[in-house]
Amino acid sequence: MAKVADRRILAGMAAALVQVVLGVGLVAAGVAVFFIATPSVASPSAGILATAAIAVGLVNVFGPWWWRLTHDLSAERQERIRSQERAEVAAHIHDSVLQTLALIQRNAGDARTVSSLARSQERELRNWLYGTPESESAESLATLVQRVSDEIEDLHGVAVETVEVGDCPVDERLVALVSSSREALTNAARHSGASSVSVFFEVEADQVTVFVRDRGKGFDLEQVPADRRGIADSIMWRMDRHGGKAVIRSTPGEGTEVELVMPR
Amino acid sequence: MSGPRVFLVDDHHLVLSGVRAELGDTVELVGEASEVEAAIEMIGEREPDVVLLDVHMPGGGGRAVIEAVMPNHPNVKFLALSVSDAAEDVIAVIRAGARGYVTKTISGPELVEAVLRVADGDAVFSPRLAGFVLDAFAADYRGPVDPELDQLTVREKEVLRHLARGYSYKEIARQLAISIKTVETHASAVLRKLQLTNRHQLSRWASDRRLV
Repeated sequence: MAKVADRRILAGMAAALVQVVLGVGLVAAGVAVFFIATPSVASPSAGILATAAIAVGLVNVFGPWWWRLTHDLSAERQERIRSQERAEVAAHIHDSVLQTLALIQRNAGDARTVSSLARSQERELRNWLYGTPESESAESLATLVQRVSDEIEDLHGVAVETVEVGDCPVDERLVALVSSSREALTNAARHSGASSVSVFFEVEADQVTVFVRDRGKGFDLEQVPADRRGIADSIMWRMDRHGGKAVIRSTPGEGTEVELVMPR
Repeated sequence: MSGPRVFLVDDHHLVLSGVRAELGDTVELVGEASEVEAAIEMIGEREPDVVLLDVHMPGGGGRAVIEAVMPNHPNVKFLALSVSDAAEDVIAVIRAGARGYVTKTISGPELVEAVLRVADGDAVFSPRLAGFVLDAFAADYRGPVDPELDQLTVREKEVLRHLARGYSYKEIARQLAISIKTVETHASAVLRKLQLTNRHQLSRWASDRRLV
């Protein structure tokens, strides 16, 4: 096996060598024609021929290198896009499927809750996979936020008090904002211990602000365990990626407030 | 100490008994009614400090009660209590003269605080009412603007935003580094503007939206 591979590499090197020698030869020949024949205006054919020889020679020498360079660049860009998509999918799966699975485990004794969780998750996942992308459906922000609040109420059995000021059509950034709000709500519903969570969002001329607040047990921001991916990755990363910002304030014993700001 | 004298008006008996239990001994309950006519009569007789009343009732709702009682009994204060009403109903009871609006999901201690606050002559905003006011005053307004009545100051907006986020007066005072008294003054000023503004679109605005 190793010998075959060696031979193939040797063959490749030989081909490259022949190509370079041929290219250099063509360039040299072309240049020589210019010096020896000094083509005149009357008989341009020798000049054209020489120029063509030089061109073909240059392509032979530099072509493969140039081709490899551009190929590498576009491969790198594709890789970057792919990893961004992967992160986006991971964030979505974390927000939806993983949360539901966690809930199903916790409610394992309750057949009805489990099947309703499974059903609503299936619907959500189907919509995400096959439905119209959220950013393309002509929907208002208020409707979307309200729907998310309803979902969290259904899923976690906490009251979500939503206060909406202003409204606007939803674009890709605002979908990111709503997803982050959803994550903040989920965190509040699951970890704060509070029986209700408040959501306040305000649409202004230049930005949209969302506050998600609970009066639960709060936590020490310095000591968030690494496995609590929700806050660190999902909210911060997503807001940052779309040009917004997230601020999390929490005081043990008093509660937590997540502030999300997305420029318009 | 018996606290302010409170009268309850609601056509849902479950709500009445729930509110009664939540208020407990902190106030002196002087009566309750479940119909508009009876409420008007009894409130006139007993002159409570605070009337806690449902927004939506057959026979004109809380608004009819306020409008009938206020001219003859200016010292009686009203606090609207509601489950999920159209914005136009809520704005109507406020403009009729209620000192505040809270939802029936309010916790017991918060309800007591709201009643005491109204008894002291201050305004009470539920988060939803605060959001509603912000929204209504942000809408375009064409026509003569009286800055005293038709616009909110920066500080008033700040206070409203905190109320909409679910903060109590005490928490707002701490956050904005001002006294509770100042927060109360801002809230009362906003309530006054809400009651007196000539923003004509306010009622149309309200009918377009629901305070869910």
